[in-house]
Amino acid sequence: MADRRFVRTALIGLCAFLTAGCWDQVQIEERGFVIGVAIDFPRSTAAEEKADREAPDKPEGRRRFLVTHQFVVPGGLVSGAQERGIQNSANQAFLNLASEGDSLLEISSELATRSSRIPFYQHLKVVIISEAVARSNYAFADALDFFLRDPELRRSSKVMIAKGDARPVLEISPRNEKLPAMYINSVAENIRKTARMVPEVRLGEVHENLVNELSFALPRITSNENEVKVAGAAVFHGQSNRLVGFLGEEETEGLNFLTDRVKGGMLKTAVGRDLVTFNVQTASRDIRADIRHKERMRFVYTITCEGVIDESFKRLNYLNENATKTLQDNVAKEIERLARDTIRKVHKQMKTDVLGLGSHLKQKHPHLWKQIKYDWDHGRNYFASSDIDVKANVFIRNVGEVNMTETRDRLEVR
Amino acid sequence: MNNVSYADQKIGSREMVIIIANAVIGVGILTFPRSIADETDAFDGWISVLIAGAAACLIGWLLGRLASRFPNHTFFEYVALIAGRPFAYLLTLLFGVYSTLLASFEIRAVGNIAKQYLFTTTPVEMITLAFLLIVQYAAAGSRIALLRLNLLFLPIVLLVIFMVQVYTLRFLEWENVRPFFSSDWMSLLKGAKGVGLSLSGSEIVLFYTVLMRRPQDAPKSVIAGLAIPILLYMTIYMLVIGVFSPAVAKNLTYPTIELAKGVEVPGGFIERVESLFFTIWIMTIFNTCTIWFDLALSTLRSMFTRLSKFAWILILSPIVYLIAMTPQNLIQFFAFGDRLSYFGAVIAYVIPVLLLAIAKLRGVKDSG
Repeated sequence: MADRRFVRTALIGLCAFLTAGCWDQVQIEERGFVIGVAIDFPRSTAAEEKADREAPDKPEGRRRFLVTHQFVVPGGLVSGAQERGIQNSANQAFLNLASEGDSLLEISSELATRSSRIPFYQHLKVVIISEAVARSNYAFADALDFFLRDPELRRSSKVMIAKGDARPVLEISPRNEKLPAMYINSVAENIRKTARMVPEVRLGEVHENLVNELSFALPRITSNENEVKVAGAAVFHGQSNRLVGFLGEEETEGLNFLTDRVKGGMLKTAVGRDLVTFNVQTASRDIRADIRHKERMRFVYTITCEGVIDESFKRLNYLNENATKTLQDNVAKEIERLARDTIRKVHKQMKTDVLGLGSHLKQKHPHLWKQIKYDWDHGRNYFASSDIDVKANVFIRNVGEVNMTETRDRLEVR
Repeated sequence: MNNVSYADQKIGSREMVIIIANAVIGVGILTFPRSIADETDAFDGWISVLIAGAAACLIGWLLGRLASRFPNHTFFEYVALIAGRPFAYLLTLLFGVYSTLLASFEIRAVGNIAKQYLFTTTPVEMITLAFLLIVQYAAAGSRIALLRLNLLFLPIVLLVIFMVQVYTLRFLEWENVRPFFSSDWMSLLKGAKGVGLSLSGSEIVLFYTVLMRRPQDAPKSVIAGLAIPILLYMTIYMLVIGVFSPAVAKNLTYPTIELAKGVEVPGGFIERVESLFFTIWIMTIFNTCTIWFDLALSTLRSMFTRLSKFAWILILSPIVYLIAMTPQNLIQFFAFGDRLSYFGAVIAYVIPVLLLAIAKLRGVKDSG
């Protein structure tokens, strides 16, 4: 009896040992965590020609991409490594690898032949796309297909458009952060302090924009050696899904007011020759549409903005109702100016509806939208022939801790 | 709650509700938003869910009526009473085939999803086999225990899905939601057809009513049981459309998984909520699959009583496995599921409802 029990236990034990296993086991040390990707077109055709000579018959894409992957080097993340005598060059917490090819998967697998760690995309934070790729026909969607299709990737990575090349953006060495991609990721979230950047656009939303017929705007990113600047907007046309142009910082601010994406920021207004700066706390917008004539639709934006006075070079008695009223009007005029500048550019020059008017019609007048959606900002371009106006209401809720900083009047010097 | 009542070999009506809910929630929950968005192209798809749900409730109620008319008879016995033994043999055999096919479908679904998202280099054959072995093990034990396992799992499943929904709420965009009521009735009905396939499963009431303590409650239990998935589907659909927009929902293979993948729990403590979602989804599939495997066993045993349950498990398992491995790709797999649903609609809905009509007309009732 005891014998049988022993044999049985041994068999079960053996099975437990032999059947336990994992096909998918990858040690964490073997994973190369990719946190940022930059997509460019290659500068030279050398690699392409070489590949052509080697295998003239192989299938080729319309475009070749130069893709830079940013890997985390965990050793570099350990703080104090420098003091313990490790060389500065080895202390870098990231590694950028660039490779060229006509498919992103090809590039990714090519990296595996050069890196000790397999690229692992689950923690990808930012995808940066160069201006040239974004401007070229089809290339923008082609560049993102891999990121959307591969189940390892998530739809929450941020997408930004670099003015110029994308690769230098990942090659900066930020002073206060160890990983450029994480630094960029954090910068892009600072919308509470400024309205001059387009709020983060995630990969999933880009997919949404690509399959919808509406035009859209993505954040613009520029870089120098040590830092990046996320400000301005890249405007994409909804039908061709191509970059048509950039909006500057102030134009982006106007765009954010017009599309109800302001979460904070500031507005300057001049009273006499002195500046008063208004800190935006909340803003909202309302669209009224007059759609009686398809050829000449009229849209009126009403922007409502609330905030406080945070800086004032003008000596005003803020406890006086009239002073606040004048200021409110001044700030409202400034909002209107910003919005009109933006409208002038996207409406008259670009003729591309990133102002959310198509979306408004789709939501509020779906029947009309069904008729005109193929002629909205292309084809017959009802958008360009429409008429857009802006009104702003400003409420100053608070004037800050002090009424006046100095009581002396300033002389008007001409 | 009365603990002593668990000692008997009967199930209460509340348990029936949960079993039905579990049987209905299956593979469809991952894909149905796509099939509705394909047709309606708007937020209005929730109406489709409601239409399909109402239809499913009506049919489920009728099935419940049929089963509760014969509280002391098995399916085979009461079909024989109504339509004669040869027909009973045929229908029960068809049900056996249907259950076997469904069990195959479910285990393959687990294989496919687990392969795509969890074990990319593990062969799908191995994942499927491992799952089948567990299902076998569950089915080999007591039926009542198997049914009560549903009670244990469903609250966890609902809790996690609820959590996913709460945390995706902040990605909801109004511009995806509006306009309301812009779809025409035809497309809503087509959408309802699409989601209707994902609401099948209430036919199990035909077999499990005999185990109920109060069989007369069966029709009510079916409706309550269906209400849970209907509500779930409606909220999931609304969120999928609100978060992704209809155009994207159309283009996602598994919209519900993408929804779970997008979840970001503030604080960064849990980053990959989808792993939690997969766990609970596999739990519901496990429940669904064991129910169908159990039904395949019991229908076959009710006809061929000579073989023991264990022998039937040994016969059925390889068949289930081989059928599960026949679809060669995702398209064939989905086509398999669709065809199976149509087959099920005939034998599990149309014929039983006709049987109920005949039973009413002829006045056939439980004699015992």
